[in-house]
Amino acid sequence: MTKYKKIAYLDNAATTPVPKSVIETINNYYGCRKVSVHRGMYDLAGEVTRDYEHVREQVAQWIGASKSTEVIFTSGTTDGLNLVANSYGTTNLTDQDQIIVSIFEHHSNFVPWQQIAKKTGATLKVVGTTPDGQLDLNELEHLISSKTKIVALSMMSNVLGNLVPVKEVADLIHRQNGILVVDAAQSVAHVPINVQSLGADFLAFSAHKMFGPTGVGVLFGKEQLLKGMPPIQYGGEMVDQVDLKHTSFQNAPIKFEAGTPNIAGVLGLGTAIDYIQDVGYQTIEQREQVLMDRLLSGLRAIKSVKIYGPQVDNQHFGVVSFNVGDYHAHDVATILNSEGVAVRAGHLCAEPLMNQLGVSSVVRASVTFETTLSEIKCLIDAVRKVEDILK
Amino acid sequence: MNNVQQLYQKIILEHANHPNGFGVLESYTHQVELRNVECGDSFQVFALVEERQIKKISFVGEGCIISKASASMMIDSIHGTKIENIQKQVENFQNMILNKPFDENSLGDLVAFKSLNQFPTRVRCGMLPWHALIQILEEINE
Ligand SMILES: Cc1ncc(COP(=O)(O)O)c(C=O)c1O
Repeated sequence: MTKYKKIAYLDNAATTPVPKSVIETINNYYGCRKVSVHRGMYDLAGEVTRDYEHVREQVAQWIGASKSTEVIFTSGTTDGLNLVANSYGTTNLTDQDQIIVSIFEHHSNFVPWQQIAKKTGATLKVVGTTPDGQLDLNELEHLISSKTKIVALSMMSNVLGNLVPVKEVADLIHRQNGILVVDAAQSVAHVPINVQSLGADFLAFSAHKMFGPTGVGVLFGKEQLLKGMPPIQYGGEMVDQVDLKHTSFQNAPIKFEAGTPNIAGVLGLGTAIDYIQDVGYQTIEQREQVLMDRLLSGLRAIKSVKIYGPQVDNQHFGVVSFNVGDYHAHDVATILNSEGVAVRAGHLCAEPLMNQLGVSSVVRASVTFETTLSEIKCLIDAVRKVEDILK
Repeated sequence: MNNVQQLYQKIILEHANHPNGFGVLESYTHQVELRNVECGDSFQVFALVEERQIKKISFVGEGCIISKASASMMIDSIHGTKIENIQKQVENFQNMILNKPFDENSLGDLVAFKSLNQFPTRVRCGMLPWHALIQILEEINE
């Protein structure tokens, strides 16, 4: 595992550590296997290509895709969501249509839709939350109409930490013949993902938030939808035939993967999935609930702490955001840092949600199942010191 | 005092809790709004400039202790100052924050920020009101 020197690392929602096995896979590729994929006429190129394509199959099985051709390798969640917005959005939206996102979207699942709405003339609607931070399904039901072409929704907010009833949303939008785009960046390290049972038409996540390397991610898309979508980047690998006047393209997923891919990243992603499967989501969820119980009860015991999102137990999946009194989140985080505790503070790339919460910023503590109880204790002890120093 | 106590020393907390020059000027010649993109905090600085002198200056906005105290002290330190001398004051403060040689005597309460350079992630907060001031100076010199 990544060894963070002398800090209690509680910023796992930003990026998680990587296990030794992932580092070994990447080192092994760079150390003695660094060749490109798909083109070489020699054994090693064939071997690496096989391993690379094996990860595609591994991902497909892991997330319940019906075919590995529904798995596109991207540079991360942001890249995947932009691909859907730019390719599917541009071809399917008109000024008669609507897109719906939630108020708690990360900017990477908000801004692409806002921009594509501007470009196509479509209307962007925003669904809010109930007072305790749950997606407001009633409001969503009212917003969805036959004009709604796309609902883009985060499966788990990176601020509030609770899960969204994705399947219910999928049923609502499918009844109107629209599609559901799921941002699974935050949920993938905490709960199993199955695109069939979720009813997702597209689903994106990043390897670096699930014990894998940075710079690589996955976009799942239903075969039927990918078929009709144009590429948004052109170049090597993704073409079928090129002459001076015309170019024809490969089928999905290759038509969306222009250029030499992040081979080390994809191989590392495969090993990260092995790692999660070896541990098992059941163990992950059990351990995280123990950590979150301790974290939430510790924070609740401090009078001046205000916790955002659900107030009941077992609803925060690895993430809790809070403020201490009226103190600014950056001042609080500076004090936590001086106590050796690494947390995130700021608007957390979710400014629309901050506006709704009526704050400019929050402090966020986030765990993985590998986080220790002593790290949680460091945080709670440090939060207790905040008022002494700032008052 | 350890580092973090030094950063949040009494005088800084006092300026942050009761900032000087907080509010909108009745009349002003310059107004600049700046945002800290990391936390969404934003400051507006107003200045009444006549005969190349800052006659009045004020600010409004939401911010952390560091940015509010810095704004309050900045306003104290440049009130009524000639434009030529403000430039020097800005550089002087910047030098202190960047751990370069600086003149302690002309900074007044601002010397309380001497330890800010040990908090690189907070330098931006301390500099936010100053960047607004720099923008005003640029407007004046245009
Ligand atoms: C909910 C959510 N969506 C999307 C992203 C963007 O992920 P990436 O930066 O890996 O593209 C993040 C990461 O912070 C996130 O938390």
